[in-house]
Amino acid sequence: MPDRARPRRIDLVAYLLGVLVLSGSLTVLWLSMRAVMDIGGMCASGGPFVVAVQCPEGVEWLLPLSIFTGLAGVGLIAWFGGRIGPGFAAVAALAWPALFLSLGWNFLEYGLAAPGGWDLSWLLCGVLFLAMGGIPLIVAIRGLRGSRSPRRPSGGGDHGGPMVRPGGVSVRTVPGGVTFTTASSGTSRAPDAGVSEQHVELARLLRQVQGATAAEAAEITVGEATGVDASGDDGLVDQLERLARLKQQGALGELEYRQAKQAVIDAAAKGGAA
Amino acid sequence: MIEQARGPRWAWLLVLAAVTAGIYAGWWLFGAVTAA
Repeated sequence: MPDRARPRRIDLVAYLLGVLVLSGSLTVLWLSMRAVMDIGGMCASGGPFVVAVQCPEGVEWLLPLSIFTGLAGVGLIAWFGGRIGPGFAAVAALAWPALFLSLGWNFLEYGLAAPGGWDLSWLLCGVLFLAMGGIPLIVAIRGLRGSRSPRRPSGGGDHGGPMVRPGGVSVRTVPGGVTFTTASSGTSRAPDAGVSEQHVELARLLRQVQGATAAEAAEITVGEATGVDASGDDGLVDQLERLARLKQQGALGELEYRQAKQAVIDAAAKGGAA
Repeated sequence: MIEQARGPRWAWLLVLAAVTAGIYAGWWLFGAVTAA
């Protein structure tokens, strides 16, 4: 992915249009729902039947239309936001809690202020909607906080800088391959007690390449680091499985995993060509 | 080096402005349609 400090104007305009359409659609949906709830929560219009409660003017087409335009807005945000930056595309995910929390508010408000005092069915809907909107939001916020924990300082990890791991081990990625080093360069340092198994395994791999100079380390591929011959099909598969396991266990980040995987494949291709 | 694409920080102000404009536009549209 190219480094893009300034987004293309067309991407930004289309993205902002998506945000505008989505927030406008949610507003129309929210207001339409209140208009229907004002007349008892159910209405109809048109058709060959005798309609007991006519829908407010325009709501019968405005409400379904807002759902489709809202989906279109989410699509614009996800597509063009991805071109601007990952955080911008993630705004599309906020549509879900925004929808359920705002409609849940309507249910709760009308459930508590019903003509007979309060309405249990609307209150139940309100609680359900708030849970559907609130729980994913809380989980997402906790996930975001987790990804910004001190283990992954800003400027590290996915941006090519050193990533500090428990046990005093850091991982640095460089162009042209994957190099591993430790935070305490030149000294063999055992991982702290209590670190998880995957970190011990990663630390062991790092120690294998610790003696290399920076220039040598730049040439060291994951295959050499792991001591597995990548030239054969079996070695390649073993390494890929090993990397996948490390990623699954959380010892390798997404970017590190992709780079390491590419390095393994390159090493295998080089070995096959030789 | 692989870099994650990152939009500028000022773009978030535009996002907030777009949200505000969207809410206003939705409110206006609903009022205009139901009042007609």
